[in-house]
Amino acid sequence: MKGDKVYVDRDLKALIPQFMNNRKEEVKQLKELFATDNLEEIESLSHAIKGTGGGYGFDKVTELGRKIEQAAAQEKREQIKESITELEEHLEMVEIIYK
Amino acid sequence: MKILIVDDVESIRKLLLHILKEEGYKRLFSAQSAEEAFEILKAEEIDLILMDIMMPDLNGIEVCRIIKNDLGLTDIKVIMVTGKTDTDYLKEAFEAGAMDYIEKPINKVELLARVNSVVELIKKEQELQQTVELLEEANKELERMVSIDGLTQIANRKFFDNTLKKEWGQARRRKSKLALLMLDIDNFKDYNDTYGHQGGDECLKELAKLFERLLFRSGDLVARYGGEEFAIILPETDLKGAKEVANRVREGVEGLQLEHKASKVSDYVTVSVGVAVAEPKSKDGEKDLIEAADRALYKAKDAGRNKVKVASEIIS
Repeated sequence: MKGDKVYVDRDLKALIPQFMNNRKEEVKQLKELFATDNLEEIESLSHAIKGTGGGYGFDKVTELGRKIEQAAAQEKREQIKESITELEEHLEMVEIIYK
Repeated sequence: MKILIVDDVESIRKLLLHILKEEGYKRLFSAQSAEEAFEILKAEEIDLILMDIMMPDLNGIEVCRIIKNDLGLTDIKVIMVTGKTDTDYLKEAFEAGAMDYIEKPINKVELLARVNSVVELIKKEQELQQTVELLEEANKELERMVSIDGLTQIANRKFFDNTLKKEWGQARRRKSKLALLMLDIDNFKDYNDTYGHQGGDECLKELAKLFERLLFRSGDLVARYGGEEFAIILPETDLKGAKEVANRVREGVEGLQLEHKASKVSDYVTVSVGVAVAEPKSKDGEKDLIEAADRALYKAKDAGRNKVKVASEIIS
């Protein structure tokens, strides 16, 4: 599977490693929260993820953050799980292109 | 321009710091919680805050309210940073004192447009504030200039007229006494002829300084009434008190021992003093008080100068 392409402002290059680490850390947290069925915390964490991604050019991170937030609010556990996985894969595979 | 970024998400803080730094803003601060923000606000004079609405513990709206109300930092501009779904909170945010908002995900162009326009506003306000301060200073100086006699640096005729009117009204309301002394330098024309106008000016300045020294109460006022005429207002002073001050002033002038060769009454500069006292009842009888003091002054001159004379009647 080939990763998604993300176009990032060249100026932000120095910030990206930290950005990726933080997001991966958040995915880990999401999984833990999911394991303990803590939907409330999932909702607030995914809200933060939603707000973060797009600013760096990671529109899909924002999109998935929104999906997880909504799913958590509606207690759609299957949807949460799918989206967390999708987010994890996206972050693993993503191809960053600096423009 | 000091800008504070408040957001619990590190990546957002870093992104905002980065964009603003690139734009040329140098004095940037960031806080990840309300507490941290308050600490920074205490230590630094922040001009602008970029505040996340959704934060754990205290949300951005509450923080904004605390900054504006409890910390009393009403001048700080706050731009809310908000997710699209947080728009419900915007009304509250504006009520709490926010002046603009930026939507997440952060769009660099939008962010800079908003920040730059608020920064422009802040600069304009600061310039305006400086202008207002300069104007206020200039006004005070003007007020001082229009009420002070340029040569002697004591109150001028205009200020005297206003003060006497005011004191007359107050004495009328309080049913208290009001005394007025009119002073004239003896043979001053001859003094000028002998020592020149500059010499005359020096003499006037010396006397003005002396009069200010000799008036002990804060409500008393000495003014330059005309060329070589001075007037002294003594609120809440009866005839006995007024005579005391008059004698003190007359003796004080003589005691200066300023040489006056052309004087017909002394070797030194002397003054004649007219005293009048009022128990104000009429609405604007202060003119009568001046006339009475003036008449007493002429009596003092007629009696041979370097004397104190008192008006026979009490003005009302």
